Amino acid sequence: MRDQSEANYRWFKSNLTKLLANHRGEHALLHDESVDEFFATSLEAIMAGMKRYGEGNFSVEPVDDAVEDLGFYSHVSSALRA
Amino acid sequence: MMPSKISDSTRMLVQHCELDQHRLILPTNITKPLLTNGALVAGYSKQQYRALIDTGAQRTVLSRSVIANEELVRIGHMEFAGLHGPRTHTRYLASIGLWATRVEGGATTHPNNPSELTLFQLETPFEVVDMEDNQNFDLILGFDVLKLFSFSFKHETKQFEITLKP
Repeated sequence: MRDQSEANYRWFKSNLTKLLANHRGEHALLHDESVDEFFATSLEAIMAGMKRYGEGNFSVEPVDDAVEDLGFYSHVSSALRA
Repeated sequence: MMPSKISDSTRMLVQHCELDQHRLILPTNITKPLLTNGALVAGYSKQQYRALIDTGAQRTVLSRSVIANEELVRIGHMEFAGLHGPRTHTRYLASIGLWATRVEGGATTHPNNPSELTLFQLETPFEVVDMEDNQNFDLILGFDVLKLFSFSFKHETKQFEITLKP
């Protein structure tokens, strides 16, 4: 089965505003471009996805609109290509 | 040698390293977590990857060649702050360990020799993101991992020491 994460992510981003209203801070287990279940932690969602669907057949996205800071990589990553 | 678990209270992990072109680099181990008996457990290998220490990174970042070498599982995406605006990268699940000298009762049990290092495996897997390959290091160790350790830098010897007391 083809890796679902890209298709799931496109669906997730288009529905994020609605999901934030009731599930901000939770972690969505995605399968076939829909939410299978919400979990308190990402690891719980990942384990559930592995048991139910196997590798590549699910993805987990945080229901959050925050942007993370990756320090060196965020701010000077162009230097890595030098 | 099988990896020691950091939760063993009789042992302490110590790693000394010197600045490499003004960067702090640690030898690390990256493996794919395996679902075994309902739990995620670390795989095992003798591979050593060069990790840049970056306390300013909220999360650990792996080069794409490391991700491919270890066949890590893609689990989702993440948006992070980029120089020219937010960027989306892929998240993977990884088990992380540090190669270090084991200290028992205050005495070093092995010399600080790369061939004598012990692998200390962190028990819980981490969600990491990908980056382009580069010649300087294989991964960036972020604060998600670093906060588990105590670390200091000695100006006189230009050595960096990382320790974990469980």
